[in-house]
Amino acid sequence: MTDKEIIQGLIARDKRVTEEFFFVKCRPLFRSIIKLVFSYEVDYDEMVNELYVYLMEDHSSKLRNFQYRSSVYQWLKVLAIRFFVKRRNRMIDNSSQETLSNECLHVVSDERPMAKVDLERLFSNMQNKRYVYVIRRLILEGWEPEELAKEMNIITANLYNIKRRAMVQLTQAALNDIHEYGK
Amino acid sequence: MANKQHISDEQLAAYLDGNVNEKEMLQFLQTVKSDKELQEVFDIALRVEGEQPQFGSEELPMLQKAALSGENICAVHKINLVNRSSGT
Repeated sequence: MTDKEIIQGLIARDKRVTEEFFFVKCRPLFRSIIKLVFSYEVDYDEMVNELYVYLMEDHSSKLRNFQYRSSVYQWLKVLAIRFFVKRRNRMIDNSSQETLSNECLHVVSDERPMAKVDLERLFSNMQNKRYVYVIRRLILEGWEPEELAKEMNIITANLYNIKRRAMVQLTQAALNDIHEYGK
Repeated sequence: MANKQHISDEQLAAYLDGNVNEKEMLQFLQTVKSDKELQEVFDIALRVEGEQPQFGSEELPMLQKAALSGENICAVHKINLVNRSSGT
């Protein structure tokens, strides 16, 4: 199934797509997230059913507004993490007025972006220099994936895998930097 | 007061997939320094990534490579061997 078929199938409440993708293919993903978010036993089916209701609320507006900037799987991963984190926080603090909206994460738009020198420090802390190379070419220099794949003598599908793993390593370097230096 | 702007689930997912431009990437990396919830979301996303075997390899299986490249599996295997021996 393509991402478009998945989105359209979920919006249409197609039984096969919903079952195969959301309830079967994503099961290991949801299990991992629930295990990491909750430090105590929770009912898996209850949690995933709540997530499904959240995904489909407002006439499936989340699905309808999806713009394919990422894979559906990656998007659903982020959506599920944020949903379960808020769900856990609400369980911990019942008196909280927190809602399950997207309002907790902000970008302060007038905050300056990270300085290039800080980015170079993160790059120097990344073990795999091939990952650094791919981020430089694709994101900083704006190369086309096909062009870079050809230069690296790999197929484009492999380059996308490398790019995603490069972003994982960069983000890990950023989190390590925060934990180590509080920067 | 600072003008705040929401980061959508899709923007976060696009960052994790590397589908962002330089400015967006630097903005995310700056924001994560001070946003505890974003730190937790990223931390969980990275740990989940490590647990999902289908995303654990840079290399696609040979049959998938052959199908995607339109070449036969022997040709793909040969290219792969050359790449490995030349360190690319």
